[in-house]
Amino acid sequence: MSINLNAASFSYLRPKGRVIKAILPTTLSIQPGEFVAVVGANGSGKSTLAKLLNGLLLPTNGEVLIDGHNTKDADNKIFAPRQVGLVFQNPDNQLTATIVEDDVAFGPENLGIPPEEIRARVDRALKTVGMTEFKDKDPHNLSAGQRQKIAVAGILAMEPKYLVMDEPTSMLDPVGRRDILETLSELRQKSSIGIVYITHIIEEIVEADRILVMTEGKITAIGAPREILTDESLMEMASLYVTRPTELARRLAKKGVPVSKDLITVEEVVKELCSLK
Amino acid sequence: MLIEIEDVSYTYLAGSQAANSALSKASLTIDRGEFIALIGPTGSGKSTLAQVLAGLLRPSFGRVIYEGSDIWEEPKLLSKRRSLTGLVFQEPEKQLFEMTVAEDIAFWPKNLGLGAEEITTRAKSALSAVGLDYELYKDRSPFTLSGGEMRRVAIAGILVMNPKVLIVDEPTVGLDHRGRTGLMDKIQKLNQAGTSIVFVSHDMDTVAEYAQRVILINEGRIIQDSSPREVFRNKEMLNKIGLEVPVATEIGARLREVGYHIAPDPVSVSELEAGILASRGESQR
Repeated sequence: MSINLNAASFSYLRPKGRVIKAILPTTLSIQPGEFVAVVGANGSGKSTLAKLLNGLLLPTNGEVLIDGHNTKDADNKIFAPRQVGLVFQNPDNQLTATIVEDDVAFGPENLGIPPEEIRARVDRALKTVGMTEFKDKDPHNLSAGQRQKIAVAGILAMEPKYLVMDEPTSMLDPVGRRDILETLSELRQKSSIGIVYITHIIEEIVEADRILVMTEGKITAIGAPREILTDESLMEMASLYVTRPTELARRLAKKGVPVSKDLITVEEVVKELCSLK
Repeated sequence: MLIEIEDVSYTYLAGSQAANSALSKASLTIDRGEFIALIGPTGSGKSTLAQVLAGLLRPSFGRVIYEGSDIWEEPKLLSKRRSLTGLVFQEPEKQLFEMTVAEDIAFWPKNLGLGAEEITTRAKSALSAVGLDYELYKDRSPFTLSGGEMRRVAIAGILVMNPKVLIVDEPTVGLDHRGRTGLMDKIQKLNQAGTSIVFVSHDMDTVAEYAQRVILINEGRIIQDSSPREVFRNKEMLNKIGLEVPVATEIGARLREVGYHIAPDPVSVSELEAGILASRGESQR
């Protein structure tokens, strides 16, 4: 069981026969229960990769298999998005209804799930994202961040086996962001959901299992957070930034304070500095 | 004083069952050359306040005063007065629609009836303010640009109106690191050249880095209006309403608990670094 890209590539066709190679042949496997972060500059192919993973786009060459099912098979047109839930960058691309709870119910209704089960799932998903008190509102009158939370709830209610999230917290306040990340971490542990998480916010992914760096349609590096986030030339090339804890650790190490210069989280920095006391 | 708002309230869908109060009794003033951050949890009314400040939403109650005159008093003068401010919406690149960058930037000045030469001069300077070369970009379709470039063009489309107050609603969302720092540096340059900035953001580290003044809003009310250091001193309250303090402030507070003498509350990595080094120096003496 896993999502597998086997030399999958994707090209967009533009007017006048121009071809834009968004994803060069890529081989990759995403396991259940794993949190894979995807980072890279604007235009590096992250969002295209996300759409390949759930069958919304079909590879130009190569194949994408979801638990062994090829996304190209007509039979899997419904199966793929059911197994792999995709949360878009912009919530407005996926909001459909004029009442919050109808919107969240839309996905599970299409899966043919019995009404009482849908009710339970919608309540649970809204609670998870902290939007229960807004269940009767019109999403169009809510703020961008609130709409983003509803979009996440809509996908959670489908209870997919894998989640692909394209900057799902870009418009949320810090606590809203933390809540979503904590929810994801619980889902991985409890239900072994595999998560692919695209972001520009490095602080969100310091605890990922793997970080995948994309540059110009290619995966240029893949590794544990500490390995990736302390590789200065890689970070520069992929337009990533050094987190503030790492910046502090490096500055202190330079001034002769005995701390490792490869710290990446607030916790690590606090711990090392405490031990010097 | 450039802008003054007095006891402003705003209710969406006022009078209907779905009425939703977004702003209540907000008062504030904006002076020339200020760099103000507007922070608050998701749904707290930041974007509504930004639109009221920009003269785009008429408050249900209260007054909006630009350079001494109430902008909603005489509707005839509204569009002229409104050009004091420029609002860059969230994801402004979605509002690009012309065939070329030059035409897109010329849209508002054309509407105002400015001459072609004046428009070109302004467009050149607006694009250069966001770090793009007019000659290189003018004939390109906005839709072939990168995300960061598109956003800059959209901002240039507002700057071309020469606003004295530039209001930017989460300008860096979705941009990669280079795009983000590039854009913030351009906004800072505009500020140094005299434009007042109102910067709506969820990124407390960026707020601490750039803003001189922070306005904190929660449930439609302005609950604090002071320096970043003052606002970020109140970590517990900020956490309670959904916000955090900058990373440096957080680490500083935790280190103080174990006996480091770090004061006053650091809001940047360099302040924190200095605090840690000083504290270690003391204890070695």
